[in-house]
Amino acid sequence: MRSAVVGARRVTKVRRLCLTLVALGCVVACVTSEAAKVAGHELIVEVDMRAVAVDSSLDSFTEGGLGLLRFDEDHEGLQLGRIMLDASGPLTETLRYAVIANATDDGDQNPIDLTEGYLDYRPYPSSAWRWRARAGAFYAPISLENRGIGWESIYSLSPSAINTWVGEEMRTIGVEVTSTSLGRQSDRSFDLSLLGAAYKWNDPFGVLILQRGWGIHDRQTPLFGDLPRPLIRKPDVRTIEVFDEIDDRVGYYVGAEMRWMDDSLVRVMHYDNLGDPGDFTAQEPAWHTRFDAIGARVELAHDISLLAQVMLGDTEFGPQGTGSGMFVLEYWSYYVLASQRLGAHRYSVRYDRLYTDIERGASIMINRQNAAAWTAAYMYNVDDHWQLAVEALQISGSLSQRVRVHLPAEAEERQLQLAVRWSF
Amino acid sequence: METKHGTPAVMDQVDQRFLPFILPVRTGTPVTFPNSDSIAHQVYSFSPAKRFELGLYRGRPHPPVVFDKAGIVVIGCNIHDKMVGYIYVTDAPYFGKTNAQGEWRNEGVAPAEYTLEVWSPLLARDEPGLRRSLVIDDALPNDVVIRLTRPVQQEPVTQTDRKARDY
Repeated sequence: MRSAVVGARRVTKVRRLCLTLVALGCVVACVTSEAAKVAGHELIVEVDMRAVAVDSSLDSFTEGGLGLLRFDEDHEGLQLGRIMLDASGPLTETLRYAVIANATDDGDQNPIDLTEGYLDYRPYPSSAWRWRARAGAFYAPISLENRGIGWESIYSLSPSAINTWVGEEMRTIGVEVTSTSLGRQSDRSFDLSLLGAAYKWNDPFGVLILQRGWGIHDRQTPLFGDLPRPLIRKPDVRTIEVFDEIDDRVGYYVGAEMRWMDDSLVRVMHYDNLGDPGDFTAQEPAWHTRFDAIGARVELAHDISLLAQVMLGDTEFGPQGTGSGMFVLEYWSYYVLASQRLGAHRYSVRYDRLYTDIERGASIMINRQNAAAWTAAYMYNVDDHWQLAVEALQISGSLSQRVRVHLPAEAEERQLQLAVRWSF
Repeated sequence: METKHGTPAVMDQVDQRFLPFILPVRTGTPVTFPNSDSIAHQVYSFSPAKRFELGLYRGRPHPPVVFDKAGIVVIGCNIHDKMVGYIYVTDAPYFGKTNAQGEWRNEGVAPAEYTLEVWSPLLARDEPGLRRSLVIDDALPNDVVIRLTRPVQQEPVTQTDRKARDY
């Protein structure tokens, strides 16, 4: 039984590597094909180098620690932010592709790996309701910050806790359909969109927020990558294979958006991966994760933007033979962000509030996070190719599971980053 | 701004925006839609006055589109939903666009009884007084003042932050 599982894992890894190579092949094909450029294909490469200073006694979660930052005191100085490749273009008149690959040089399974890869079908509108469908692996439209190339925040280096978690553990690997009633086409001052999606391969969704709580950083988990487990229960399960299918159930999300002419918008979403936490025959059982998310962005005079998002949900896990999970973790977070753009310069400040607590099974396990964070960022677009950014981030509060590894629950973590980004 | 029959008018695409935002033309006028952006656009309209689609392009590969029916034609880009432009197709003998001060002048209007109509997608839909009768007298300059009861909306913003590309 055991060897079968190990064998399956090996096959998965070979398949992953092949898929990554195929994707990289596509990217290289795009670079080399002058004819492709003419037909509207685009390739963007970004190299992001960082100078990092950290003030924290904790190891980063990227090293299997219970720190909430991407870098720790062992990873100061010059660091690779990321190398990102973003290729997109038309396959037919109404069908486009997008492939996004990242390298973060922090010991993940593959040196470069995909974060997204999907087909985007946009038929010409024939009425005020326009349709769009995406199929493949992509981000659900939750983040109001990550509007840049390669799902980068345009306001700061590190997105809020909510969108950090989206980048860590959430990906739609399936199909999403959006219908938008275009306001301009129907004499209304706003667009109204409704969307729904069905997906699989998001069953371990919740492990990280249970074990480490909310974090704040810009590292996106690649589709074929994994993360070290901060708290190891089974010695042979030391990593989280984030995008995995365990229970063969299809999850869903539904959402709505209102977007005004000036780009102000309101978004709501309900997400439920419909995981089966009762199946204890699996090596790593599925997690049942659901949440509601609401967000708003208001564009004011003088290029001032105000953003806020709230996420509130729970995750059920730990098979106990009764069909339901032994534990339920409740979590919520919100942030408010104010930003002003002055020509090529942008100044942003954000406050994040982070909270998790065990709702069922608290007599056996206490995983509680109660923390808050401040982020201040300055971004400067030097020209079409160069960007400079400075970000100061402080997270303070408690994470009770640190006590289990003989650390104080309370911690204050500070990180200062200077980024130089070059893209073409 | 009178466009003669047969001379193409132009609605350009610059920085993911249709320029001009509103283009008034006489019925039967051909309009070209060059794309001056480095990225490709896909122009369409499904307005009853003119339905058309211009497949994915950069530069100016498509022939002009002839607007042969009076009415308001809303122009969009199938890739960039935020892009919007309006072509106002009219049979009126005199028409034009107001300047930044909200004024429009026309010399040499023949004396007669006319109907004056004002339209903009940025005006409130129920704004009163946008259609009125007008007698043009040869002897005197005729000033017509229309006071709006509500402010004009801003033109839709396009991608002001170069790094943002959420479409």
